[in-house]
Amino acid sequence: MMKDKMTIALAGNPNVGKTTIFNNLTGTRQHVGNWPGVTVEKKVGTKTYKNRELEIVDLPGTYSLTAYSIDEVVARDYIVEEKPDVVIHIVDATNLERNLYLTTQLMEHGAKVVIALNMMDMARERGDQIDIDKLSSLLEIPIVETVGCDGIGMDELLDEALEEVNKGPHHHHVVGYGKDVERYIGELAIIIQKDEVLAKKYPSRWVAIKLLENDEEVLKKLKGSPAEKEIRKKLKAIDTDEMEAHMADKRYEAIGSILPQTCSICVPKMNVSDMIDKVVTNKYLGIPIFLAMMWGAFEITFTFAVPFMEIIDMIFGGLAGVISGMGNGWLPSLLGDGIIGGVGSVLIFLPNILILFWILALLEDSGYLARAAFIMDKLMYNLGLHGKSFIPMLMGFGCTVPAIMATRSIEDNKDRMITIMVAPFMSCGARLPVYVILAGIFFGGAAGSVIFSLYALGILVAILSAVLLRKTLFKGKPAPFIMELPPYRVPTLKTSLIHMWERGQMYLKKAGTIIFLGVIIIWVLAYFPSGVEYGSEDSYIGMMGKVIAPIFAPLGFDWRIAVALIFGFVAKEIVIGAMGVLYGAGDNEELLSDAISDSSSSGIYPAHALSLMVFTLLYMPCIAVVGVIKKETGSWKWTLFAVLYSTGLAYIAAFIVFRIASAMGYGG
Amino acid sequence: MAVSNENKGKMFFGLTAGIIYILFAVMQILNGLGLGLDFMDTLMIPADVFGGFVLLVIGSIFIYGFKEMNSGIHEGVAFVYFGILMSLVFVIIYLAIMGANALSWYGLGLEDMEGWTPLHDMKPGLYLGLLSLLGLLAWKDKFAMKGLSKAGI
Repeated sequence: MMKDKMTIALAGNPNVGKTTIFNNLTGTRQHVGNWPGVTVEKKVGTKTYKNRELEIVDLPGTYSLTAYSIDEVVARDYIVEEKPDVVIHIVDATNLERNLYLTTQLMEHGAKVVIALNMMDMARERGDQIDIDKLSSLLEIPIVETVGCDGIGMDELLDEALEEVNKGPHHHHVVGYGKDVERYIGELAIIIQKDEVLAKKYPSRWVAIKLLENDEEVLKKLKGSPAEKEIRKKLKAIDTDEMEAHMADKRYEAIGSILPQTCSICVPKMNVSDMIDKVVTNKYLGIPIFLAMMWGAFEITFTFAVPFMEIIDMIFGGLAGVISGMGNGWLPSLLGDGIIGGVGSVLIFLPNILILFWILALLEDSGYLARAAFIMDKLMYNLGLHGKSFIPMLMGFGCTVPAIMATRSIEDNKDRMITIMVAPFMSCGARLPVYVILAGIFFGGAAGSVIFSLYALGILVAILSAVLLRKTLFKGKPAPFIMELPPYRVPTLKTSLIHMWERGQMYLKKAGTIIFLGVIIIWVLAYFPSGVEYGSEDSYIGMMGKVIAPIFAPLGFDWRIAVALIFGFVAKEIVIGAMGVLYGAGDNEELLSDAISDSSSSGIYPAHALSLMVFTLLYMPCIAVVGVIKKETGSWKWTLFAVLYSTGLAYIAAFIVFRIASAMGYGG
Repeated sequence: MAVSNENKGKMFFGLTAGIIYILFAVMQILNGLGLGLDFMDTLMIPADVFGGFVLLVIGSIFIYGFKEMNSGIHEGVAFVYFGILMSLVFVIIYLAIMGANALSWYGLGLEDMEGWTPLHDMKPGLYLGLLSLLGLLAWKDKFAMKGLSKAGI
């Protein structure tokens, strides 16, 4: 007996013409809102057809029923929890292989499905020959040919849907996963059936498959179930690490066995995403393309920012002028030399930081960064790093604190620990001011390339450290890498600027808090004892410098640089601010440049500059990073190791660079 | 497998652009390594190894596309489109840098930029972009990014 009212869900991959079919079916009787708790658009329409009241729900586009993205969660929850009377699965006839992957999952769940084979006109136009009857018979699912944009096949689609609802108990067509996995599925399904509520609500085979795939949403559904303990015990005994990939392979194998029987001539179609992926993930060109893009990003970060830095410099110069009009004494000195000089020297680099963050936001929003992780995975795996380590390491270009926090996504503890230890070598935004000023002074037109080389050196040191750690302290192989690549999206100015600002404001916040405090401490040490020349050898800071200077002498650093590097532990941005104080330049970037570039008085030659940049790149992370390493590792031992290892490495690397550059005649 | 007439045009474009880009890449890298020749100044080729590397990557993408299509692999066309796109991204980067330098000199009068003219920033990465611009105009419907949604917050 047919129902008077029935619910139809429209499911399918993105861009298969789902919304066009939804509009054809419902016309103007639509209601647009949001799915509960999320910002995903919910479209519901109604239609009266053959005396039946139909409620038609347009689900978000999804490639599978494995819930990763919010769209997939919404689509799957609706099908699994709300149980529509029938699911119309809209399939792009020009891209059967990818589209049928979702079909296999719908079949597995046991939902009543009708396939709308859409875009058939395009498939025919390019010469595809699809045997629809045979496809329908092999899948055991009714299929209706449609051309959404012309409204063809809509009534037939609804007729099939009504008929499908009226059919008796549905045959669960399954994909075979091989002897071992099928045994696990069977054993789990038996346990699941012990929980009557769970077994009544969801097909036990489907739940077993999702559990083997480590589906977190399904794992959550077990909470409080009488079968939970036994299921978890069973899962613990099974190696589920590669299960999801194995099952995906089997589903594609099943599709691969059906397609040649039903589509005698099928021309594979490439969409924009496929085209971009074919190039950027190419095994020969993928990495060179990534390197070229990164070089472009640093080139524009360094060069485009110059006039904007100059404008900020002028503003702080004006402020310093006003302060100097207040006369001598400790207060004008604190305001001028300390606060404006210190904080100003950090804020000057805000344009560089914002541009770099904006470019990273554009790359991330477009979906390219996930591809970068993918192309680097093989290389990273061979070097003993997990593929997932690449994302935290890339984030390290912005700030090391969120980068280390992002390692939480790495499940294996050894992989995670290695990533935490090496992430600080990725050159964060705070180190950029040091490079900008020194590379600008000593390497002129090649400054962009020098800065790029420093970033490359950071990556190299991180990789080599990972190899070393993997072979010594964290022996074993990295866990396998499974990651779903998000679809490419067109980045928008508004979104990328918001993302840029979210990260950029951390830099500003830091300038107003920790750096502000740091520069006041530096000012106190540089101003006192009373009566000495500000920042001179006779000041406390000078005395301190003299004590530690011998340690840094082999690297070519005098007491002023030694002191600046010590204060860099508070925040790396302070290095330049402290140098401004110690070279008597305050916040004036030009004065500092002049003071440093006069090698005879500053004692800084290109070899010293290179050594200083390398040391700044590699030495101990700032105090905020040390805090987060302690929090994430939960161990003072590993935190201390991170500090000592990086500083020791920085010392050795700077020493080598200084000696080589000096031998080449760049040491003055 | 036979190559369609439409793809023949793209194959020819890929081959031509690939050879030109690689040729200029080699010259720019040589110049960067201090092995430049006098005529390179006339062609406004800077001494810039990394910039030369970028040209080499773009040229290789074009050539790879040509090789694929020549072997009857239709999807090779993706490399030609991407080569065009990437070379134009670098044109935008170089134009932005030129704009910033113009602001530094004409707007702020920075001493470091004294005597700067747009010709100082002219380089193969910029003027070879004209070739890609022709490709973009010829196949502009392929660059409409149909099917891609906009990035959300």
